[in-house]
Amino acid sequence: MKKLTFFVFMMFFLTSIPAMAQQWKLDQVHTGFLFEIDHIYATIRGQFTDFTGDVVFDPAAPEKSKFNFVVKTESINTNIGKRDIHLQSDDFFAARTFPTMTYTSTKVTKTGENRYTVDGKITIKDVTKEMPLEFIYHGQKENPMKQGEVVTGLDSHFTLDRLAFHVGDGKFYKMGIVGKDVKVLITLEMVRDK
Amino acid sequence: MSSEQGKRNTLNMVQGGLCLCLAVLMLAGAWSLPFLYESTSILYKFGMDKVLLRSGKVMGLTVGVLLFFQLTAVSHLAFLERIFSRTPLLHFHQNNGLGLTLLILIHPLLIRGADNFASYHLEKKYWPEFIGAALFLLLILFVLSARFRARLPLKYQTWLRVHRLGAVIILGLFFIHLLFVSDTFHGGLPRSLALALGGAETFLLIKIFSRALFGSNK
Repeated sequence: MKKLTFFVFMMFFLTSIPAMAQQWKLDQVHTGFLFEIDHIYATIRGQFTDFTGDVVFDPAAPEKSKFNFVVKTESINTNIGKRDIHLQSDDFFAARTFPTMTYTSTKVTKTGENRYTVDGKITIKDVTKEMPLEFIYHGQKENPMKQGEVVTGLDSHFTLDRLAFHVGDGKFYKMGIVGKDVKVLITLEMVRDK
Repeated sequence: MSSEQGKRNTLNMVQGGLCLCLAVLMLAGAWSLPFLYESTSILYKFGMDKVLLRSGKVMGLTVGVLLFFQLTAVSHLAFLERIFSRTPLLHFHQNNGLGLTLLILIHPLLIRGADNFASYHLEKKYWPEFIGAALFLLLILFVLSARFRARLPLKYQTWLRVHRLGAVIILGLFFIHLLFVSDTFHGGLPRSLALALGGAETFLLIKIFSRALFGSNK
């Protein structure tokens, strides 16, 4: 019985080692979910400041990787309080009804030198769509700020149509005030123990 | 009634009517601001949200004008006391305070309702709104303490001093809130009018405090 318990324990331990080793923790201060959108002729930049991520990533074994994010809509920040409150309102994100946006990966594949494609589903408000994200992998090294820790970085730039996700009903777009295409930058800085 | 007395009564009625006209004019002027000088937040609202936001601003501006009336009524201005006499002015001060409270309760509901009660985080960018929240609480406390003064363990003179000091804080917070919360008051005529009203209220406060300190019986 003792041998069996030891065997089960060792099996569990050995199979979980790779996953544990590749589990990364988002460096909240240096990770960003940023966006920019046209306003008549100008470009407005903003970001979401409250988010969580469950990231498993091994550049050598992308098939074992996952990229799951949850972003709180009420954390939108464009540096203008009144605009942020308006963006949280039912005119845009309806943050009370839809407090989070999520991205859940289904497959990660290497597509080139330091390039990875993450297939997954993005949910904003009441709309869920398949959305592949192209990530550029910047490498990994021992954290210069903390011994015994490894740091890695990935970026993904993409554009999404906010109206396809019901972020606004199109009246501001039709008036030529707020654009519909939102340029998004997800910049990840993540750490794990060595 | 002598003809002299009759003339005086007629004059008082005319002057009283003029004062009321001036008061209505001030209120109408305040109500017109959110229509004539729309803030960016109003421009970006449509339908019911626009109605709510504009109504909320009208309520807030009404509070501002009523605060001026509140102060005017207890400033012992000779011409006002001659026209309306002191006791009715004091009653007006008390009732006006209750009216103010009602509007104060409605103002944030309308403003926040226009944005579907979206959350304000404790962030620096929302400081004018937080000043408004502090003002809201202070005004409610202020009106309650006046309404139920008899139940407070304070001597009348002590309560009066606290009441006067409270009025200074409330007016100060009101003008900070007004000048910074809406871009309508960031410049132009609305800002000039707000500053003029602030100047008039400062004058009235100085008059009230100097009377309290130097004990004028006038």
